Amino acid sequence: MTQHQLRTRLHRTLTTVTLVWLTAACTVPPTPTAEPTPIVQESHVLGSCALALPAETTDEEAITKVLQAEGEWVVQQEIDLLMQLWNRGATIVDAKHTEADTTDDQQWLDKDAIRHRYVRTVFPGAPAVAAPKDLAITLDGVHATVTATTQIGNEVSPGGDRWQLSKVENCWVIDRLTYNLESQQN
Amino acid sequence: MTTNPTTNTELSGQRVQPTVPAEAGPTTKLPHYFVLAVLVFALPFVYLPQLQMRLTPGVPPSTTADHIYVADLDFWRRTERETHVAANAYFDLAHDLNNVPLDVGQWHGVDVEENNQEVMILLEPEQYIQRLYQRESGEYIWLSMIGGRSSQPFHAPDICYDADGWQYNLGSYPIALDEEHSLFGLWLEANKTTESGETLEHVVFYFYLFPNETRKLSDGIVLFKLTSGRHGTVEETLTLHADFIRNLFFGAPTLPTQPS
Repeated sequence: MTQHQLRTRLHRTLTTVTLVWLTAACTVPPTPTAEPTPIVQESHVLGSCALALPAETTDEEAITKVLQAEGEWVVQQEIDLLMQLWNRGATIVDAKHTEADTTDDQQWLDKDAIRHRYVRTVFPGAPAVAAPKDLAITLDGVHATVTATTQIGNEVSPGGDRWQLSKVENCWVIDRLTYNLESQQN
Repeated sequence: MTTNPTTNTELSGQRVQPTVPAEAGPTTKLPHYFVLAVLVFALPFVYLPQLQMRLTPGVPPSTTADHIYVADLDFWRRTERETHVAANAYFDLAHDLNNVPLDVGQWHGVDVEENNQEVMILLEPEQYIQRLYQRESGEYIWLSMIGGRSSQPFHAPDICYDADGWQYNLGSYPIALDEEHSLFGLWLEANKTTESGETLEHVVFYFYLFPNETRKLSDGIVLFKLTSGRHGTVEETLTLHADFIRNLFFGAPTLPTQPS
């Protein structure tokens, strides 16, 4: 092998190694970045349709199931499921035991506020039971009003809750809850 | 499955070989050198961003001087209002929150010491900044920034107002940062009649800032809270708050990077 051939072979080898290295450099995976935030879609308003109820379920049954689910998911602290039950623009009102006087009402306006109330006011109490009882359902077309006694933990509010629901795309969703309707006991 | 670098090299060599004549003379080497020169020239562009990241960990590879944060209505779980914001100051616990400017647009601020020691005892914040900003037209805004690495410093403001006998309504409000980005916060409209018959009214707007997407408490969270009197309607007052916020936060086009 002549010196020229040797030089050529050495040159080829070096060139090949350099090219492979440079090519690899160009394909180095990008610096790891944060996983993109799972896009949290605006919570669907599913209401009773989130409960997989049989087709023959009546309006009264569907409404009852929605309120029962609300109670169960409060206990389980299932915030995302809870928010599916509420309609856009929904409201929660604390009537402060003075139903006739609305000036002292406290309101959580729209779903962000309702979510906040669950997370920061309701869940910290870690209720073991949150079940509506004595439901009195009044249907008016696609609207319904329900008065109920709610027991959250040891706190029982006889007739203290009024739920207002509406039927949206065949699903019953919650529009409004007014609680502490019962008069203050001395 | 692992890759075999030797095999890869050989394969690459086989691909390269045919393009190089067996007895390549000086004239045929020219394109070869050209390719090499181009690749060598490209090398800094390939490695520079990674080198930059290693030298300045945690700083997003932004071409602007802005710092990018994750903002949300709550720190327990992500809400659908979570968004990325760029800021022209540091709002994280790796920095002193005093770096936030005292001059914010038309607003000029002064530090106000927290006299209520119960606040510090109860919240045990890692950082606590309280400032009063005013602008020439007379309006004022209190800015509170509370930083911590546990949930203890982050009592929801409505709970505190409730405990102090205030009546309030609560909602959320989007502050448009630009045509595409909005920053959502929770607002509180609170009022209280004192024993002397004076009626106090507060409008509060707040959100949480996280230094990265993992949102770990241990990485630190900052509560950004504005409080003012009522100027017209709640919406008009929130417009005032928005003017302040838009001087500190901007729409963020890129995602923040993970801290290394």
